Amino acid sequence: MHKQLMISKDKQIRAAYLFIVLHTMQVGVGIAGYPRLVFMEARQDSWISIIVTGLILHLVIACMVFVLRTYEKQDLAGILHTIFGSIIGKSIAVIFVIYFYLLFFSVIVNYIEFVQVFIFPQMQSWFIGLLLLSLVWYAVLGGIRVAVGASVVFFLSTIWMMGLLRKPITFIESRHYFPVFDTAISDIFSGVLISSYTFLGFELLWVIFPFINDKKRVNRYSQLAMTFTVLMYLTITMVVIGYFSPTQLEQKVWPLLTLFKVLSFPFFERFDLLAVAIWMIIVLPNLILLGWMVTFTCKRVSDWKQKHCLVALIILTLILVWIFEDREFVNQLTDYTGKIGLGLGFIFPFLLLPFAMRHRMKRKKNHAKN
Amino acid sequence: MRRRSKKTSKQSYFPCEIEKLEKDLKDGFFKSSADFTVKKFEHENKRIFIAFLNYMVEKDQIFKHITEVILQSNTEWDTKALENNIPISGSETRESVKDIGLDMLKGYVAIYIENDDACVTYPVPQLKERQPERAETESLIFGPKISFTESIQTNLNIIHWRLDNPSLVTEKFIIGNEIPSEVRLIYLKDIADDENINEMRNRLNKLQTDDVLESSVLTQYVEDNSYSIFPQLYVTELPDRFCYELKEGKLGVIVDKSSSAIIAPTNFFSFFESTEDLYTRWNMGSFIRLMRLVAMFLSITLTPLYVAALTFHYEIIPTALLVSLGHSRSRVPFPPLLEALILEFLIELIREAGARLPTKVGQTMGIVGGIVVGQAVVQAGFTSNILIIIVALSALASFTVPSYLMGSAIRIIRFPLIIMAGLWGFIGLFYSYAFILIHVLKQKSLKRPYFVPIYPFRPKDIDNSIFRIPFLKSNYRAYSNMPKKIKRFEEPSRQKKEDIDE
Amino acid sequence: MLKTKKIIILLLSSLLFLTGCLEKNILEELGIVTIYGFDLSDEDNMLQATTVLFQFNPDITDASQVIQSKGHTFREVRNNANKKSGYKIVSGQLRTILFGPKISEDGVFPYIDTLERDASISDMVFVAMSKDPTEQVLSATNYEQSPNIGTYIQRLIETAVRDERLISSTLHEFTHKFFAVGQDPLVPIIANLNNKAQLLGLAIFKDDRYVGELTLEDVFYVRLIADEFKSGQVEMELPTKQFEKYLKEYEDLDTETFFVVMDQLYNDVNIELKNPDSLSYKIDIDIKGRIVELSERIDLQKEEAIKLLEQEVSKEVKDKLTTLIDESKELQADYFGFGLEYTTRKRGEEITKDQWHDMYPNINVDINVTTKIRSYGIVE
Repeated sequence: MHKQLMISKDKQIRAAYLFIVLHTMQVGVGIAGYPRLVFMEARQDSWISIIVTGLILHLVIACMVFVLRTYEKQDLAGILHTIFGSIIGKSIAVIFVIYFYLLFFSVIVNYIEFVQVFIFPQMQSWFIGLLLLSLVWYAVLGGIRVAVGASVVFFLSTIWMMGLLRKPITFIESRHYFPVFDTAISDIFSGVLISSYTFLGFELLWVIFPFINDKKRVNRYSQLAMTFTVLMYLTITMVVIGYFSPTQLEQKVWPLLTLFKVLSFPFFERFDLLAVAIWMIIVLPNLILLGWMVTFTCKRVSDWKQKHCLVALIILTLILVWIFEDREFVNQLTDYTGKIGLGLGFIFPFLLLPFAMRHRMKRKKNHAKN
Repeated sequence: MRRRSKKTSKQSYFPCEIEKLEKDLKDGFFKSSADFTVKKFEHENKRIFIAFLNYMVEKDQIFKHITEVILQSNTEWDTKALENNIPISGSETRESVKDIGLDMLKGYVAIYIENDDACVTYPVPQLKERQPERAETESLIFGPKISFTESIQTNLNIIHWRLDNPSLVTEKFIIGNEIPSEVRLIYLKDIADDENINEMRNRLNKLQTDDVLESSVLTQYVEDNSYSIFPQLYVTELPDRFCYELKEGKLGVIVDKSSSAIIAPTNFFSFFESTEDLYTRWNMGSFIRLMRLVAMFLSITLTPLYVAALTFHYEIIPTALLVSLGHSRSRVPFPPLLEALILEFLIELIREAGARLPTKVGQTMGIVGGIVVGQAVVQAGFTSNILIIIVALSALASFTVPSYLMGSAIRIIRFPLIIMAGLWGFIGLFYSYAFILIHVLKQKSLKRPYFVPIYPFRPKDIDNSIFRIPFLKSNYRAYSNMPKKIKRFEEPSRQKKEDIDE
Repeated sequence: MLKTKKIIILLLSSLLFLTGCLEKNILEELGIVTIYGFDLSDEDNMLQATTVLFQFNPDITDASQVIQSKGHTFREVRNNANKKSGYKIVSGQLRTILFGPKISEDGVFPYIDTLERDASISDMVFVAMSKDPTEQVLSATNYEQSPNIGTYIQRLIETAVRDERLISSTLHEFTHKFFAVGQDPLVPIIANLNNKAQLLGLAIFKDDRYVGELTLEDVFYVRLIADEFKSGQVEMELPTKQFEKYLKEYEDLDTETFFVVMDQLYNDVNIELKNPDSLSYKIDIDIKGRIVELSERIDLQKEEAIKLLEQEVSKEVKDKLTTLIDESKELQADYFGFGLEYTTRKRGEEITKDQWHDMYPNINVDINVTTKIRSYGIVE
């Protein structure tokens, strides 16, 4: 494995895309159920949890960028290799591959559930999986540029849906937000934990970093992306809390999709049906980028061809989707993935920090000697 | 005997006897063609041989400028004297039968003076060509009406008159091993990007084919992905559009015998632009451009949406429509999918029949098809009346696209979309949209991204593709074409903003 | 490589097309329900439903169809209804749910909940009630230009809500209020008079049980506190006595009261819980409106006349509100939403709905109304 990645110029992307790419990675199936989860913990003070999570997120990103800058032109696998040597480095990288794959899989299963609950109860899971995977296959074959492009275009073609909140906002009962600061610190903290599962996805930065053209701006755009995501989650959660009464909200598995049930247009009576279908467009960037992450890191660890990794990924997912059709299982998997993500996403970057600092010190010394 | 003489002619075929040359040309090269015409005469003791293909040359010119000149002079003629005295430019000195023959195919006349070392050929081609006429396929209301013709000479002439700029380069290629045609790569050297030029030059050089047929065929030889349904290079018959794009830093290719020119590289949105948007005022132009994009979207959305709604998602139909839709549907014996496919097919039939028939009959076709058949189809309970409206609307919408190729592409992808919507409702529909978007993202035109300026996102180029702003404000060329000079002109000096009454 | 690719593509696409067997809902094969009427049958306490649906047929212009069915659960009722129809009965276009008297007294939430859990049913469905068995209301054959009685009733309610003559009670709003601690739902009452369905008043629900009713005139006062007006309208009866001196000279005083109609009415409410322990509320209501009709000719040129009018209107509003609140206390149904205010102020402890219902009769409300009359039409 080459630790240094040489990326040809036509494969490179501008740092500005990180804003959209990281954002689309964080927004996906999770957002539909998130407001309820955070509300169950932190009640009407959920906004505190979200803002705290946002602050932590910014810190994590800053840390990741620091580490990545130390080892320029290296992705996660390369860095791990440099720090821990071949065997340990590779095994940690393999853990990451598995983790990325779990994220990928939980996104697919969750979306399949949406479709089955809201539109087609009779549609088979593996079939919906096949539809999504065929698109992932087609897009990932195009490489990072197409993956990023898909995320940009799909982002632009779905962001207008935020404007649809206008109608539910008119139904808001402002008294649901009070009393403020009434929730215990421990509950707010569990709200933070719940939120952090949902905000996962920024790990993409580990892998995409070497592909970025102007590395100086990485920090700026990644941080902006985090702010944007946090603001979006905050808005949605606040609208949802105002819209539903507390006990009602606790019963809605996907409050955001239920929110769309009040939307109707003169030419389109029921928007919620369309929303679930459009959700495919929101979920796809997630899947495509995760698919790319899994296959690329897999290739870096194992020296297999990325194409073969991709085929393996798709076949494996299809089989797994076929086997596990249980809703209970989906929930457990999502929880489990979230817990792993807490470690690998939020805590891991800080573990690498001392190594990166030592590396920088060494390099400085070498410079001084020369 | 002949074989030996041919062998020796490796060094030099000439000098030889006139009869031998005639025989070799007529029987050997032209396979005893009936059009091979020879004139032999003696002048000042020298036998002179003139040969040409009957209908390929201007006989008047031969008579006036060659035969007469030769006969009227008193001096003895030789090759040199011919070159000096005959007032036709572009003469070639040929030393092999093959070269002479190839020249004659292009409308040259060959003159040989017996026992000289070489044969002289003069171009006196007679080319029957159409006068430049009004553009038919890309018709405009505003602006120049002239269109390209089938002659490369005329086309180059038109282009040169429009682009009288010294940096205009026309590189010549001959493509086609059976039927060689002249292909010109045209660009403005000061503006066009070198990488693009090299790429196109390479592709043209590498191209091995028997015949180029037409410029739209050439695009299919040199484009990036032959399997995509979307055209990747723009084919236009309008010189004004062609020259505008060259000025913007793109490349042009024209092909002899073809009345349209190629513009490269082209992005997806250029297919929805028309030069007319530039001729109208900027706000009208922007409106029309956006309208075309909306029209394209409607064209691929309406019918599939109808099919999806009536097959699976009855919930979305507004109450006001529900009853009338239900009534007219209850008369139709087919499922919505089949109903829509039949009607779409019918519309395609009418369009195709109208296009194949002469203009006058074609118009009648449209009326018969549209009104009579449409009316009858609804009355017979073949389709619901709302579908008629939807299908007609989406057909109309697809015709607003200025590029005929893109319009056809949109009409054709409607069919798979309808089928997907009929099979899996909204999920199938959005699957198809996602697929189309990814597909378009993957395409490249001359190795440049196809979906620019949306991705790669270039906000500064949006005013050059998706809408327009006043000319004085848009003094930058599109970045995505990578022009060497990015500025069209210097920014006009800003006037100081005045208060209301000053 | 190319060959395997081709094979994969071929396999994928053939698989895709082989599985094209989804249950179809082709429009003309559906019986599309627009309104459900739920009753409890008198004999055996079973759920009884009146289903009004569209069935499309090329020859009959009237697509409306009414089906009666019985069962223990909603599913069973629907399946039984389907036994009487050649069309597949679906509820994705449901617009209104109508509850009969007995079922309303019994509690409607179980049925609302089943409908809410059905993803195909919109949240904008109106919940309504009738005091006669629903069959009687839904059998009215005069439904104006609407295609059937379901859409007619929807339009009836929708127009009233838009004109601010009613408090909206969609499925979402009903459940929202049902679940909220300290607020009870109000639901329009629909009756069949002379073969035509019409609005009769509002039913007061305590949780999900019908306990009392309001007239359409009372709705105005409830809205003053519970909702807001953008351009409301009200008719008020005021005593003539104080206005004697402002009456135009040529008028004879022949009635004890006269009527004022105000429109373009707009209100501003401020509910304040003064003391959470003694449950004393202070309500400030600002009303701004325009007088359009007076049944007596009062001289509105005089400023004092207007002042007096404003005072009298305020007083009338206050009196009316006090009676309404007292009535609601008796019913223990807090449709004004005073409890919401309580929950937002009470820190640290959460109370249940039942607790609030018990506390509700103990609240003290101090109402303060100020009225401002802006202009009086085009003639002075």
